[in-house]
Amino acid sequence: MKKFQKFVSLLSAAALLAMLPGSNTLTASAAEPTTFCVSYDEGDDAWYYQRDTSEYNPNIEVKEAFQLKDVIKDGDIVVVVGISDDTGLDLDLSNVRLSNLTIAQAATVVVRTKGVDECYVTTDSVAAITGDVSRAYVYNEGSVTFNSNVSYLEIIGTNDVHANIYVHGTVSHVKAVDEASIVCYEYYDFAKGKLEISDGSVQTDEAYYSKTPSASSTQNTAPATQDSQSSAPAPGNTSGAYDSVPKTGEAFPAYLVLIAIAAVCLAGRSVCKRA
Amino acid sequence: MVCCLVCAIFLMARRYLEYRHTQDLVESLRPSAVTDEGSAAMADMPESSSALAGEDVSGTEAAPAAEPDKVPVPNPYADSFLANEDMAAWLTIPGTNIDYPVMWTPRDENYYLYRGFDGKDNKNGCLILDTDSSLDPLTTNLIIHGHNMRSGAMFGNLTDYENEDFYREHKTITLYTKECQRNYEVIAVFRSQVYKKTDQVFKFYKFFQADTQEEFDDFYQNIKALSQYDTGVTAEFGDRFLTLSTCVYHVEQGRFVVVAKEVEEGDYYQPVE
Repeated sequence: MKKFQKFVSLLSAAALLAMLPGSNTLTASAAEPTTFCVSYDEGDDAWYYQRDTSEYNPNIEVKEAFQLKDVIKDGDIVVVVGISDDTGLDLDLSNVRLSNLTIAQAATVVVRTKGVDECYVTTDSVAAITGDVSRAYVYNEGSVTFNSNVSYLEIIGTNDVHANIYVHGTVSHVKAVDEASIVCYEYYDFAKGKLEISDGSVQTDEAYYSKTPSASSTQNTAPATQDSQSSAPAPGNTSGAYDSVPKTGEAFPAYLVLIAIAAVCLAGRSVCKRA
Repeated sequence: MVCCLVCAIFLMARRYLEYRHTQDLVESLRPSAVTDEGSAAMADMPESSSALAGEDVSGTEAAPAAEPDKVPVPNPYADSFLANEDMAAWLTIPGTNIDYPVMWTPRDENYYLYRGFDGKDNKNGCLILDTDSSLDPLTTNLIIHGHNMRSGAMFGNLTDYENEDFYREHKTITLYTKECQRNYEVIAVFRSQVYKKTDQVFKFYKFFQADTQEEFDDFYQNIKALSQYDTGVTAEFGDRFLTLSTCVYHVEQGRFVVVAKEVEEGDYYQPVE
């Protein structure tokens, strides 16, 4: 009798699992990238981070920026939002490769990473970034030092380009465009530590770069999307991730599951009594 | 078993109370009588849009100025606009229960996704105007997202538009903004989905502004091709649209979409103070 009851319980559990949506299939999916906003609090004179937002949201819990390293994972997105002042952020994320790093009007920001897929540095930002960058976009008067290699570097200006950029590693492809998408200049294969751009002008000796692409310089250097030419950076533009559209579905109601469990238990109990 | 039943009853009761709270709150926001000059015009609207083809809808972006023969009237939703500054408009589909405020929070698009009009947590959420849409200046396309609730709340009954008979009886949609009453007629109904960032396909949720004939044609031809039935309604460059979107589950990240074309405006409103 007890064995039979146990059998009915197991059968009930199996029936319940079968009824749950998606439970009869095994799926594996990579964790969705998480967006973190790192912003400066003038009152506290401190940097904090927030989760699941690309800009400061007073309704989301803040934590100290140095703690971000403990929660961030490969593929996540970081948006640093500051004020154009010497506020000094040293963000150690050297344990992860970011899919997107955006420095939005934040001055004196140092970010150490394992690498970045897409990096956006907006006007009035002053930043130093460690870690190989696949595609970097620097806007208007942005100033940035890349301490590692950059595969593709695009400099975007309004009427002309005015960025200040120094790269300690190599740069495969550099393109400067204005807001009308007119290419101001386009160069390739900068030697290690030789790319220097001051107020939009290339200061590097011509011996250290090429004006024509080689076979290797055009690999992995295509700009991400047309959006890269707009004045506003687009954090979160990662391949493999879905477009950001409000999720308007309704979660499967838990009470239905509980009712199903109760029904199965009742059915099992009736069967046991008859037995 | 008893424990499960008790928990189930508790959760059901909580869900019902949340639903009732939403309905009561929205009911309290609805005006007692909507000024009906525009509504009356909609009731007499011809079957197809061909009768309106002569209208100049060159798509000015600024807020509409009152036509000389239209005297601004008090906004029927003035109290609602004043009650919550995040409210951008009020959406009504006559003859359905879709009669809700539309929230717009450009700093955080999802703020009202699980919050009621009063800002409190609520699984029904509110209708939200996509932050890439704008009422001032008015973008070519306004996209409104809403939950597909089993209770029928929010856009729970939007999928009724899959039935062509339902469409024939509910061809019009009205959007009350601070400035005026905007009237729309349904032009396309289809199922789509949210795609991956790298997918090179038609994404209805990416269309907000058509500055060229080509941009307009891309959107228009795609929605007509996707539409589950032919509404007979046509549009041309310069026309404006209203897109209603809710989740469905035919595919992962599925969406059910109703697109409507703006027709003649209704009342103009006095400033909300």
